[in-house]
Amino acid sequence: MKKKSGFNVKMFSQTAMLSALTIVLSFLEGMLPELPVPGAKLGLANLAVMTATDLFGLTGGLSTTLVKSFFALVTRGPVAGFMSLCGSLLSMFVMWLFMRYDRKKFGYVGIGVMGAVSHNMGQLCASFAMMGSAVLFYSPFLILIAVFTGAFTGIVNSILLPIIRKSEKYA
Amino acid sequence: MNNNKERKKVTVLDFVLIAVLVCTALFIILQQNKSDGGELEVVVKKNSEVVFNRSLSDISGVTEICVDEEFNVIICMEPDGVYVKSSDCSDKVCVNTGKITKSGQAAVCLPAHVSVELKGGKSEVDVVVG
Repeated sequence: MKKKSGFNVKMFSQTAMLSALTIVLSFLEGMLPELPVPGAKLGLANLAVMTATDLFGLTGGLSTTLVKSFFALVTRGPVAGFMSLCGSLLSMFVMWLFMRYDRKKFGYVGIGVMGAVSHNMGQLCASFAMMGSAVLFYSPFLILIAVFTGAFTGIVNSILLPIIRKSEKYA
Repeated sequence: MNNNKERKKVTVLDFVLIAVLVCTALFIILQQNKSDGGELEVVVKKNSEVVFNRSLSDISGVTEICVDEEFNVIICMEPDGVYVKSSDCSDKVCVNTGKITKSGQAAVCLPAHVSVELKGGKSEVDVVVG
């Protein structure tokens, strides 16, 4: 039932809304208390990135990712912006690959976990480039916490995405 | 259209994935904690260059050094460990890391490009080359 056209207004507006949502979620996340692992976050904004990637593929994922990183750049400085960009780009790409693979093989939780782990690994690689081997000490803790935050993202999206897709049919 | 193809919440493969990740993390943690005891060395780096390097046993009492003027990163050294006492950076990852006491552990302040590492610790093999 998809119409093939050069410019898809529905996709354009929904991607814009999801991009705006990443900013709101990033802001909300900043107000939450710290997680036990230094530097780790719940990844609320990743929710919107996962939703956009699932609904609109790479286009949706890329635009939400860029908006999210730009928000980090403006509010938390160039280092945070660069870290956010590295983490979210890798995360989005990995989630996209896993989503394309096979609908039956991986569930939402698996994709969420892979997204969170690759997000943290992307950031770790970026900080490795800047700081050297000292940052590797954080890697196992970042993997462990990503399993939890990613599972959370996956569970929330397993509830949200079917509802969004169902509502699409009546829109 | 593809309602019957809706993705499941969790699949078997998801659990395999999670198990592999958790095992990898635990394996790295075990490796990190392997070299225990012996002489520990404090290495402080700024912009990947070593600015301070001293054996932990040479430190008597509590020693504090300020590494970065811009962010006022103050590193506090005690005979049993090292920690970042304060920093004006926004994320405070370095301070929240707490005291590091074992070889291989590190505290990093990314905005200030400062890292504190503990190296050494006499294990049977220090470095395997090739």
